[in-house]
Amino acid sequence: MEKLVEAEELRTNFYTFEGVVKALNGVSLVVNNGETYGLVGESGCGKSVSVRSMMRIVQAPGKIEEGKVVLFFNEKDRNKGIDILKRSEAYMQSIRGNDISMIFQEAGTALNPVLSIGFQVGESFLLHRRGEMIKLAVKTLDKKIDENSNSLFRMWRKFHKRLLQNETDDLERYKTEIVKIDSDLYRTEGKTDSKSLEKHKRLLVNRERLNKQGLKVRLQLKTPIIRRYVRRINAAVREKVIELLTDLGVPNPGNIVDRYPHELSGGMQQRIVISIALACNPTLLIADEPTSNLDVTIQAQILDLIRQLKKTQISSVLFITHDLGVVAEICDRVTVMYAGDTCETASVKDLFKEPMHPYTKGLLKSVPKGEIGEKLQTIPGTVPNLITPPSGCRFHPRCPDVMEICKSQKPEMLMMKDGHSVACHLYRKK
Amino acid sequence: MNSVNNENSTSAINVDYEQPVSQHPALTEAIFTVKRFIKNPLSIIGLTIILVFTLIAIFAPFLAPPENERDPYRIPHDGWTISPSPPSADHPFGTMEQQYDIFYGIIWGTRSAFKIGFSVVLINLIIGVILGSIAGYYGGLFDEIIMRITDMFYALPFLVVAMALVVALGRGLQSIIIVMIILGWPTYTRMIRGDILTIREKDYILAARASGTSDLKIIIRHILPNSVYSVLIVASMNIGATVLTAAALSFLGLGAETGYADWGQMVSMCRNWIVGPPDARLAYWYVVFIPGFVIALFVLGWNLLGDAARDVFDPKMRRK
Amino acid sequence: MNNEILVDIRGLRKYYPVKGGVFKKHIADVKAVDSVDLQIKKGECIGLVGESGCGKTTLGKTLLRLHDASEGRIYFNQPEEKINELENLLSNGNASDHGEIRKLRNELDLTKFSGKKLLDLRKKLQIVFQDPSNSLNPRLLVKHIVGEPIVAHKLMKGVALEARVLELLETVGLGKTHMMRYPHEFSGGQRQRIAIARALATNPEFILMDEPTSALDVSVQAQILNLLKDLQNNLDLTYLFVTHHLLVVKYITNRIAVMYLGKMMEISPTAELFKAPLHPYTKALLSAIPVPDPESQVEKIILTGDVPNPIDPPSGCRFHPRCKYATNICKKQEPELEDVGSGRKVACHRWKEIQ
Repeated sequence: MEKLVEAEELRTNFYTFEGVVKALNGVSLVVNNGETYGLVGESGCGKSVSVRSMMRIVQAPGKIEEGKVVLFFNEKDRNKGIDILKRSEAYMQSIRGNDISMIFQEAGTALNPVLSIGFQVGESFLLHRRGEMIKLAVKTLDKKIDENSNSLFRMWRKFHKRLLQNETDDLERYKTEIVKIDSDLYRTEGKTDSKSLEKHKRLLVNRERLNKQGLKVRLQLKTPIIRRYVRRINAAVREKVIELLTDLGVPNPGNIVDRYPHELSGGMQQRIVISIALACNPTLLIADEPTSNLDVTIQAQILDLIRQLKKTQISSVLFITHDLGVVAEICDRVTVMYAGDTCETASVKDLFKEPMHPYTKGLLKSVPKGEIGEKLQTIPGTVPNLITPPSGCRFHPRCPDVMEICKSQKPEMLMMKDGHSVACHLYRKK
Repeated sequence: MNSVNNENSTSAINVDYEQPVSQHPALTEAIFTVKRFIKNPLSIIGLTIILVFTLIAIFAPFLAPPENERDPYRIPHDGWTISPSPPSADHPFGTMEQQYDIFYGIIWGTRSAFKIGFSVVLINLIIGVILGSIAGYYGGLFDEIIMRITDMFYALPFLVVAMALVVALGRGLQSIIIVMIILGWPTYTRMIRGDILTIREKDYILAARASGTSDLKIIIRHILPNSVYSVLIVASMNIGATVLTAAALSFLGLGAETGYADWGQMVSMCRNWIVGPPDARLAYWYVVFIPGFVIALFVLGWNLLGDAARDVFDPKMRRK
Repeated sequence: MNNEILVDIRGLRKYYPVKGGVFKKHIADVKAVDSVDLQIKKGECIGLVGESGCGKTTLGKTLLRLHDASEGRIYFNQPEEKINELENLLSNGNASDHGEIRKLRNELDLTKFSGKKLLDLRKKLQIVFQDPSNSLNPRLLVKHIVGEPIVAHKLMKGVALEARVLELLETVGLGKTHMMRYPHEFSGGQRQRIAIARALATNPEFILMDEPTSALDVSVQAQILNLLKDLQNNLDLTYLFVTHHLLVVKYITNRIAVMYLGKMMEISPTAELFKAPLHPYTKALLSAIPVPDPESQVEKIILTGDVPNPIDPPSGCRFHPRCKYATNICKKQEPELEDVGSGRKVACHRWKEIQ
């Protein structure tokens, strides 16, 4: 398995009025290429914070204290990663837009209420796939040029084609330059001699200074009348949006694009958000409880949709949820979190068949499985307050198998067998 | 963190449940409130300003003994000389036109300011709470009638009503107070109604109804304690604003008669002395600057206090 | 459990008027609950399931008189002969019986209760809400929250009240140290326990559980579910358990009523319903539950589209636009809730054919 994203020993604190909330206590996790990776736990266990830390979108008063987030997106050398916690915010933005997309629980709040659906989906297309959109526009233009014989129209259209061509060339230039800088950056990554460090710094500055649009394109986009050629791109985008919405199972997409978010149901809004996330062809889709607010039948639709997309469009999915049923249905590999600690990582089958960590065991036993007359087992006590978390293993006050060592020492992640690791003193080799 | 499930570790304080409570929790909350208040330097400044003004108002008879016990608000004057005279041993802040003592005016004007601020805001608040509660809680026809009446009052132009009333009732602080009550209560009523509308939808109101609690008790015990704070904060800020408005009306000549200890009236009297003679433009600075500065300080004090109160009482700001 | 009926709902409707235009003219109705019949037996726990907006919570709250019914009767613990007498008068009465009907309704039908009678009713019907952080007044002490219903009905005072509150807290697994605290000091599970203690305060016979575990985490949910089950056994309570979480319903209820767009689709004992759902909507609903078992081989029935707008529900059977078995008759004629034996009822024209 190739790694795609790896977080190492992430520690994130929230500085609140009552004190410092130690939300993440050294979280490590790996998302592999091509898998659906689940992050499960109860509320406040830090599953959302982990992902937000990995994306560097932790909101104030939160702060990432230490750790590493390594992305393995380099196409030339898959094994060499970059630590994004050390990169600039501008760099992060280019990653967030292009390689990783996120969808959240509240689809309604992710959409702007005063813009039409078509505009919002189209906007992300224009932002991330402008080149492709221009090509589409050129294609329709070509068809029209062939059809129509009126020379005046022809000239006008040819002129537009020329302008579109300019933009394409400009985008190509930008792409080659950025790729060049990036590959130089990868080369200097991790080197410690002063010369490389200086070069690395200079490259980072250059990368941010690089103009996305050349002078010519900026001019043609700003000049009145001439800039009307943009409408051809917009028309192409609209068609593309309708096509995408049809793919996502939105009924009557031609009508939906002109509607506003509040006119749609929760499930439909979540589809729109997914379509926006897909617009940039992400390598990794992060889904933070995308179905928790939806009804079961709608949840089934959305899960089915994500499963389909996993086959066709996205390589990996990082799925955050508190619902073990959803995990069982959609994930390949799962990490269970408790109070800012990772407890156990395993393939879904292993986790449900032979859970190892006492917390995982307790959690699985407390879920109603749908057998009549069963007696639910519970985990005594409540989730600890993370301002003053328990010492050692954070689960020890509620653990049925607690030992002396658990109170003082945080357990290491132990690899038990192929792909199944657990952080518990019970499994330490004597 | 996660917003679905409210079992959020940041919202629940860490409590050792085995420990019996050593003091009444209301006291604990009060101590927390005071601590929260003290932490903010601006709130201390606001509080100090208001405290100083309060002391001045209380001890006015000692700070500036009135010449006429029966009418202490009348500023004493030394003769009839037109031009003001600068601060001296007899008149620490100088005198105004016709030798009215500025110091005396400021001291007794504090009482007028409190009188105006408190009476206007308090009466507005009472009207607002009663009408707003009825409109917000019962809704329907009550709501419709009360809200349309507030709309009508909103439509009245402030200055016209003020002038009409002054004509009808005669000059004086009373007229100003009445004008500001007539035109001020709709704001409070609307605000309280809005707050109650959001609180009314909470489940604990339904729970109280389901357990047979009477409407009056629901309003007093459940709705008002959870909604009135935001209005109280606005009210405390409005005390300053009310004094400012009153001063403006006095300045326009709608307020107290000449020689009455009221800051606005004092500024109004000094209208002609803002700019001095050509050779000394700032010769009479004290006549406008001192009352103006005191008004500004008074308003600032209440605004800081209101701001601090919001930080302390607003549940969203409280634990930040 | 016996067969005595505690709550008898007949033809209940709850419409919310939609107003529009300059003069707030009545344009249409949101048909939240549309002529529902439901009998709740004494001592049972009946689940009311359905998707959001199907009217399940509205039905529950109307039953508690937190909303006023638009039409229909609800009888709570009334003798059967009298109910029948009134129902007969209603169905084939003539104008001369008008006074008699009104008198009987005021006496039997809780939607017409007022004053003292309503207050007495409130003692016997209680509710536990979904989100405990929303259902407890943040400015009251736990002691006052739990004691509120007792004070409202003037049942106890002073020391006796305090003792009763402590007893209630102990029933739900809390203790003396929790009495003098504010709700924000507790975790979600504990808050829900406080809410349950409040619901038990007046020794009610019937408690409406409005999604009591939806806002809680799984491990806490199990604690609360076990508590509710124990309380039901010990205190001889009747529950109406409103939820969208079907596995929870399966765990705790004896009977289940499935609602869709304000209509009852199927009523059936829990075991039978899960074994062989009759209505196509129930089938889809059950198959859509994510089962916490990666090797489960249940085939999913994925419904297309959304729940239609309850202002303008589809003609005929309300489920027909999303139903794969729908035929012409489903579009035209609304199916009755028919008794199909062994305690099951279903509202579908084709339930026999599609098994």
